[in-house]
This record gives sequence, structure tokens and C-alpha cells, in this order.
Amino acid sequence: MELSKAQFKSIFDTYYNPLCNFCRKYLNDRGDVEDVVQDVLVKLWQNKDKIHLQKDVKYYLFTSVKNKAIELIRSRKRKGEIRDSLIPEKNYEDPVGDEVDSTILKEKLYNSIRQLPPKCQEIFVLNKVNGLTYNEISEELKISPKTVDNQMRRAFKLLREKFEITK
Amino acid sequence: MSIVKSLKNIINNSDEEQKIDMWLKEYNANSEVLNDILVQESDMDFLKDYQDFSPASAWNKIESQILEDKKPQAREIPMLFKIAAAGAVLLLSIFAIKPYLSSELAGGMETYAYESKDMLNLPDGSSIIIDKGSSLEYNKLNFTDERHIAFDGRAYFDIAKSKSGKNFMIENDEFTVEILGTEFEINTITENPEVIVSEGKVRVSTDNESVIITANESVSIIDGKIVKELVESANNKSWITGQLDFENQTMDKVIEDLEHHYNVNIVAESVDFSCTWRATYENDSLQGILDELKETRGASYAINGNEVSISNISCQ
Repeated sequence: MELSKAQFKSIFDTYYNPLCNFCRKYLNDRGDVEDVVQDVLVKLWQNKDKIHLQKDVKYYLFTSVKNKAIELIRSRKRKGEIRDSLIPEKNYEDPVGDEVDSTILKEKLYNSIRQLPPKCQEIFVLNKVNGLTYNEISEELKISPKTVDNQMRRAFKLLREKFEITK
Repeated sequence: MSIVKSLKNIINNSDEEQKIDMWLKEYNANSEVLNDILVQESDMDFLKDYQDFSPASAWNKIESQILEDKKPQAREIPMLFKIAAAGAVLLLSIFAIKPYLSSELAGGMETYAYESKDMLNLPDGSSIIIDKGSSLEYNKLNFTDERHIAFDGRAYFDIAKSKSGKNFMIENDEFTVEILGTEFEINTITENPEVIVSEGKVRVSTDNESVIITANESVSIIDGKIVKELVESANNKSWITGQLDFENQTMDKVIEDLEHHYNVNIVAESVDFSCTWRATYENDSLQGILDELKETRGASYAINGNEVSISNISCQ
């Protein structure tokens, strides 16, 4: 495939974080995750002339990350470094279709939330992600439930605006 | 947007145009899913484990490798989805009516306290529509010269042009408004006191800052700071006219307008803020509107004086 450095950078920007989060399903160690994903991306660049993609590059990347992670687990098991009884199956088809999309979706949502103003973000995360009620948040942060409510409305407004722009 | 653009750059060969179309469709579908997540306001606990893997430092490493420049790089400390430490929130004391001048000391002080919505004509030709629960004070001896009033509550001001050359000044605990000829609303009853200008220009000042706002702008005092905003709602003067108009408005806006119209604080939990509402009301009670939301959208609510709580409004 044709791939300029700028194009490669944009692939990196789009998929690096989702790939790492996806890879965590297989590997616990953050450093391992980063190594695997970075290896896969570097390989993509080095082999760009040899790779012919049938599908979107994202499927190639996610599948490669999965296989690479499994390879790593296997080699460690061979060396006796780990004794996991179960090793996920390697698969060169498209084992991760739905997961690719859901991970990319998470990334977008995560990113959008991270762009909220700090206070707004904090309250939104406490309510929507951590499941605290308004009252719990108001006690936790020593603010009135009304302030919690205001910030939640603000968060929704900002997120909505953001998604409409993305459209 | 940037992702779409960059992808367009990646695929320039015409055979692959189709692929990008498909991808775009999918991307829009994603965007719709994101919207759905917001609309349904479902829990997002699936994001609990999602992390940031410091792409910036990773890119440095990768870049050095693809340039075959194999400088070893230190592994950077991960930036986790850290929740910022809670900052103290200053709750503004509202309705703390401070006597600006004691009436025993200063002769001629007129004090008005309003039990219901009323209109007041001032000696200089200005008129004020005052909401219930508001109070107003001015010195009738020097009013035409000074044009200075102390006001707390909510009122809509139509200020006459100055004959004495003095700008009209309105003071309260939080801020001072200097009128540069205009129509506007002051509200110190809400949690974040506000000034909304319909016509002309006013200057709003706190102890620390000063801002000029013109037609269709408003300022709120939030945590002691002046925050300027555009006025979006068609229902700004609804509390004067009694008429509320919702033309497919999103729930957050509806609730904001209800707060403004009835001058109450609403806490809305588990409400689908992105759902829309279409209705017109004329002199309806807040309870009547909330009953409608209860019947059609499954909401539950409680009214306790100025504090209203609403929960569980769904889209259908």
C-alpha cells in the first residue's frame, strides 16, 4: 500500500490509543501493551510496500495486535515465565470486527469527555462512568446538587455540540 | 473531522473511493451511536477501564524507529484518566439584602418589597416590571440627580434616557449595573445571578471586573466571576408575558426555561437532556407542566418551595 509519513501519522493518531486499550484484554502489563502496539505500527510502516489490504487498515492493525499479544504470551509460557492454562486462539481472519468498532467508539467518547472543562468532566465521570448519584457527588465534592445538575447539563450540551460537529 | 480529512489523504486511488464512502457511512453511524449513548443517557461504566496511553511519547519512539534512529527512550509515566481534585465551589449567597443606606440616617429613602409581580414607574420616566419576592430601594430626594437604586430579586428594566447626564446605576451584593440606555433583566434570585440585555448596552461590574454587554447577551456571576453568554432562548421574557413556547427544544433548554419562567432551581437527575419537547403554555402552573411530563415522559418530580427536583424523563 501507498503510505506517506503524514498518512502513517494520522493512522497512528486515530488508532494508537484504541489499539492499546484493545490489547489490554490480552496483556496486563502496560509496558507490554505499549511494546506490542508500537511493534505492530512500526511493522506496518516498514512493510508498507509488501502489505496489500483487502479491508480497512484498522482490521489489519487490530488483528495484528491480537496475534502479536498471543505470541508474546506463548513465548513466555514456553520459557516458563508464566503458567496460564488458557491461551487465546490465534486467528488470521477477522476475529475482532465488532470489537474494533466498539473500541474506536469508546475512544471517541473518551476523548470527547476528556475535552470537557475540568469541573464538568469530573462531575460527568462521577455520575455517568462511576455511577454516583447527584447527592453522592454533591457530598463528595462539597457542592450543591444544583451545581452538579448545572454541570451535567453543560456536559451534555458540550458533548452534543461536539458530536454534531463530528458529523 | 480531522480523521475524515486524514483518511481522505490516505486513500486517493479511485478504486478505493468506495471504501472511504463506506468508512464515512460507518463513521456517521458511530456518531449516531454516540448520540444515542447521550440521548439514552445510559451508564458509561464501560469507560471505567479505558485508559490514555500517552500517544505523544509513543509517537516519539515510533518516529525514532521508522527513521532508523534507534535512540533508546525512557518509558514515560502514564497519564491516567485522572479526576481533578475537587476545587472549592463558592456558593453565592442569594437574597442577602444588604441595606445600602440606613433609612434613619438618610432621609428620603423609599423601600419597596414586592409580594406579587408589579410595575413601578420611577420619577425619571424609567419603568420596572418587578417579580414577586423582590425588593428595591432608592432615595427620592436625590433620585433624579443620582439615578441610583439598590435592587435584589428579579426585574425587567426599561430605563429612560438621562436628563441629568447621569447613568442609571443598580446595585446589589454581587455586582453593579451601569445602564448606558436600554432594556434588560436583572435576576439575583437564581444561584448564579444574571443580567440579560434586550436592547442597548449596560456595564456590569463586580469588585474585580467589569464587562459591557449589548442586546441578546447576558452575564452570570458564577463563583464570583463574570461569565458572558449569548441569549439563545425565545422564552426570555416569558415570565412577564406568561407565555412559554417550546419548539422542539432539547430537555436541558426546556428545564432552563422553566427555571427562568418560574424562578425556581431545578435539579434534574436521570433526564435525557438531548430529547426534545414541543408545547406551548399560557399562564400554566409549573405543576401542570410537570404533570404533563409525568404522563407523557414518565417523569417524577417534587416541588419544595423554590427547589424542584425532576427525575427520569425519557424520550418517549
